Amino acid sequence: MAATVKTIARRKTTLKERLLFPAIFSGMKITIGHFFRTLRGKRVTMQYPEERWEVKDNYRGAPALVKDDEGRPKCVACSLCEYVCPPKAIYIVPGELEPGNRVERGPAVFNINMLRCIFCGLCEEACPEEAIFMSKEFELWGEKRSELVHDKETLYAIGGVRPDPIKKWSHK
Amino acid sequence: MPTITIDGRKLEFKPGQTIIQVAQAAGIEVPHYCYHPGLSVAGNCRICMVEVEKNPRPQIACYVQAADGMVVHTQSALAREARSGTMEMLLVNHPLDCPICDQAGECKLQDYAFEFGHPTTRSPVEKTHLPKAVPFGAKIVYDAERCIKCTRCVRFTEEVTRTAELSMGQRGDHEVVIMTSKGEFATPYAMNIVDLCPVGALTSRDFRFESRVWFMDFTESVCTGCARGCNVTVGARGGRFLRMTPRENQDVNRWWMCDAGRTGYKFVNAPTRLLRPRVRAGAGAGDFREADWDEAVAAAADALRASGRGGVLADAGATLEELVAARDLAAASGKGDLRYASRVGTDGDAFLVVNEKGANQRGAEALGFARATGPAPVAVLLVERGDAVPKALRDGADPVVAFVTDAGDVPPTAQVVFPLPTWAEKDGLLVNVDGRVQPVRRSRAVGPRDLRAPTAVMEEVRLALDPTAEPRDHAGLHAALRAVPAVAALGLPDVVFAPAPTPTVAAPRSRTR
Repeated sequence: MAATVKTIARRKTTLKERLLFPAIFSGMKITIGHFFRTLRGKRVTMQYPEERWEVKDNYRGAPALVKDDEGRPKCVACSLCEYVCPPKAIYIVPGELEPGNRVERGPAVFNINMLRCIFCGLCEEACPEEAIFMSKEFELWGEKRSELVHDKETLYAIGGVRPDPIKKWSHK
Repeated sequence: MPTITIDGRKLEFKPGQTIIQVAQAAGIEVPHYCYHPGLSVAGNCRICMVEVEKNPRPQIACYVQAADGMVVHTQSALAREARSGTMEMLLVNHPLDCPICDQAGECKLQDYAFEFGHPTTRSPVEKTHLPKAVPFGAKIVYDAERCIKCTRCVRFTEEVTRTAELSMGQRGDHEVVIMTSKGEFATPYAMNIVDLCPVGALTSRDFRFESRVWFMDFTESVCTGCARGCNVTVGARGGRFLRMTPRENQDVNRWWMCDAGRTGYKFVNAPTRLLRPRVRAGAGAGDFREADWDEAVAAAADALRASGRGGVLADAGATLEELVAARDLAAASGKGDLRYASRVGTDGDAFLVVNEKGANQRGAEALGFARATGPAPVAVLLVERGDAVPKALRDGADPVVAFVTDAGDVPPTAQVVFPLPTWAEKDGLLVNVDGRVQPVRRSRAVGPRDLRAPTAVMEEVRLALDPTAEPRDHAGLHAALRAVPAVAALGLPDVVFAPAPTPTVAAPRSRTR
């Protein structure tokens, strides 16, 4: 198939645009306006990290694992988050739990590589156990790349406890 | 021949065939749980209901025999409603714990629930609670809550192995499968009930929670545990061999395989696998250093030229291609005997297991290899399984070039050692105990990533020894095999293997560890 070429005529720039100064002045007007507003006490910047903003409830921070209000890990290592994860940031090795636990299965290894994570939240959506959530945690740093691979303990520490009114494994 | 009409298609049948058999032969899928072609008809799951014209009630396709002029509808409103009702009843007490169930992804209950199931339950009472994670011997775990009481496992132990370790106990909602013999299964075919189970009630202790099936890569291959050559499907993920399940072949293993074969893959995943070629660092025994492949090929050619020795000692599990390549490589170096080594078991029975453990022993014999009776020096040594070639034999062979799977099996006096891929990592032909030639196929998800095919390495060394020789690929090796009358008489199939992977630089073994 031969490619059809369509020529689009460019508009000629006006003298005002070619001079550049009008555009610079209109930008400076905003900057200088903020400068005076700040002098009057209406600040737009924040003294981070001493000051922090309120993170909204639907913010998608680092994914984390949660425990229910009885302190039990909710994840059963079904690996659906691993399956759905678009950048393949999640790695799970399922393990068998001791008899007496509510479920017979849980993660032996659960790693999320935060260098890969794109904060899309699909893991939270895929989870049939409501065990993985996008936390409000946004301060992710490390001195080594390996520190940014969150292991199971880190994930539970970030996730904390989330009350579960259903507890489906107690009476499935 | 009498004819039956199923879903508007006129089909011929042999008298005595049931509706489901005629339908399956024509490629019409009739849902079923309890029906299995290798077992008697139980007719208890009721999911295979079809509408038979001039009959007011739906009939079960697994039991009703086809009759001349019968008109069957498998997808009519009546049939679908009957199946939907059956699904509702099966799911009344099913725990729906798919997130933790190994069967999820290959579960018929899941499949038919998607097709015929109800989104909610109408049952107001709590589900019955039954024993979970009950050990059935050391290899199998039983979950009575997931069980749909199809009795496939019970019929297997009664009809196929005739050992009757299983039976149904209790009644109604409390019905469970029980072990009649306390403790262990007497039969070495017990794990077939895990494959037979249409739901996740019976799971394998070996594969339990290893991987979800949708992550796995499946390859159709042949078990090399003994010379029977049961057809299998290899399931693997991320470089690890995870499980082996039997594949139907009416001429070899029907639908079954033995437990020893099924769990005999452990050496593939061994952490002691030899990963890189080794060449001599000094004259002492076991004094090796690692080398890259090209350096090792050159060293092997030099060592063979210097020794002038011939002869091969091969593991009888080696493929025909490897054996013929090894034969010609040794012949390019010098004169010597062709010999094989294999283990002789004591667990052979009248069903599948044979005492002859070398998976390609018949192939080796056809190629002119004789059983090794004592240590004798050779040019080329092939060891896939350490127990097949005893230490005295492989160390006594004092090989010039050794192909070894496990680092623990390296003969200390070898000149050059190449890593040998296991049967799951290479393409090739094996001859089973009945003289049947069957292909093993390379699973792309098993084993270390950058092992070269032993046939390619042997051909490279041979070319380095004899620059006038013609290089041969798989097809060339097959032509060389056909030139041997005894092998040609076996009837080599025209198998086309996928092209060998090009050697890559070491890639990371897995994602996020």
